[in-house]
Amino acid sequence: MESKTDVINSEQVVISPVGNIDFSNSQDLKDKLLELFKKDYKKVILDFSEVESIDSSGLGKLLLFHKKLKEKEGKLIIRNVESDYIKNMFEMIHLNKVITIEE
Amino acid sequence: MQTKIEVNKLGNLPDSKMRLSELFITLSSALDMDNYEILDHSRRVAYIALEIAEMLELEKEEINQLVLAALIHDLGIVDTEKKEKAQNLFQIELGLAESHCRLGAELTEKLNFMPQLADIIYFHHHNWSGSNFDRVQGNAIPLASRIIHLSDRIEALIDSESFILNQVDHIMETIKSRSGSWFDPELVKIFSVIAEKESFWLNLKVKEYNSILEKWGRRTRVKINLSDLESIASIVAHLIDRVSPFTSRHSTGVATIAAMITHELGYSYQQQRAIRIAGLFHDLGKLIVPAEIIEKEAELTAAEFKVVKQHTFYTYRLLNKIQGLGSIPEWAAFHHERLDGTGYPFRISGDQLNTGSRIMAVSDVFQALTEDRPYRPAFSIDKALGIIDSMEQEAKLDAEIVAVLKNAI
Repeated sequence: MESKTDVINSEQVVISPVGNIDFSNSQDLKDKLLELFKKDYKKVILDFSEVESIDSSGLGKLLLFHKKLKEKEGKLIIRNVESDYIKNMFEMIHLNKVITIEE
Repeated sequence: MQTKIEVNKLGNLPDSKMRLSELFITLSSALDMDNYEILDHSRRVAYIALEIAEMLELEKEEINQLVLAALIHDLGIVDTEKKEKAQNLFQIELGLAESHCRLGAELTEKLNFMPQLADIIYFHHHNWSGSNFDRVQGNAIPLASRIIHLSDRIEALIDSESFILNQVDHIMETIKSRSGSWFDPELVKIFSVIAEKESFWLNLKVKEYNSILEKWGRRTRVKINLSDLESIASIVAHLIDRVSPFTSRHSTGVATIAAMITHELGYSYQQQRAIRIAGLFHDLGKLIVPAEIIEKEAELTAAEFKVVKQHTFYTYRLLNKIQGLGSIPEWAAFHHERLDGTGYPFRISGDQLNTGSRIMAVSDVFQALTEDRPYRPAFSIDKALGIIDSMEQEAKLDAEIVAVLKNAI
């Protein structure tokens, strides 16, 4: 999985994954997120504009990362969800009430 | 309860065909779960609507839609106080009627395999003469909505404390006085014929409507896929959210984590999804627990904890009424059972807990510990894992599943 990282400042960072977040690469995503976690960013923004789908493994890892950040009083934000499939899934399982999804 | 459990297997996927009646009766029981007990309001309204529809000789498909809609007509209210108002007052306030019809229709739209129901629910408090929030009146109101409106108000007039046959004259007088203003006059005429039969009223008195609805329900067997089931589970999560937002977030967390673990254990996409559905359903029975106990900002007393402990019993009881759900009832309802038999409320042990139930137990403990509760802040992930480790060492939780969870973190 490709992804682009834009550091906004010492507090905020934006990651933009591309394509499908699935079992073949959710470990990559996890490693990437952990690396940012160690750098103590308070706000991690995931830009989903080029994400087409996400599987159970990917969703679980996002939730776990959300918990980790919250523990350090940080915040995970998902932004620009373009895919209807992903939008519907977040709503169906109510994950949009747990993780902040910004339009 | 299942007799043969293959403990090293996940459990079974749902069948491809189910009775819509059973799915909707479970939804209706979730709606009618009041503090400490399940009321029968929705099923009673559905029975009255069925009697009227049969007298009108409606088509089978029309009857099915009407009765299914009647079972969930109150989807828009779950708040106990409003529920009492809607049930006890013959004259339901316009504001409450409007908000609950709109919200009910909105939720019903999420059941996208039943697209016809939302409209029926939207109009179910509309008055025949048109004194409504959007002025739709008369025959422009769907027939099914008119029938549910009448049935709902008839049910609201029945006083469970006194002998039902002594109430018939008063009920009919009240209904007839609203004929043409609230109710479709044709329907009032039809209902007057039904009301002459003592048996109609006695079916309500002795709860015979349960077997009548069961018999009707045999005609509602259709293909149901996991996406349809998930939309029903999603509505249940909405209902829970209205009484206890933290319980709803908890269900989302359990569903997400359990599906992830199922994935990491190598099970199929379908199996992951079925587990996620069970996760959304797992606290369905919490609807029986009064909100003041669930939302209490202090440790529960022993007496209160006993009330809470019933919740998985109700989850099981309601889900297990649906034939063809595969292992979803067990996965959802056994999350407080422990491998060493010290859990509750069935007190079963490892030899009766399949992999799916074990996944749910680990996910539930982890999610519960790492979320804020009304009476304590969230534990850190490390602390939660420490507690889970000791539970595993005491042979309460499954070691392999705990290892998979840790690896994911």
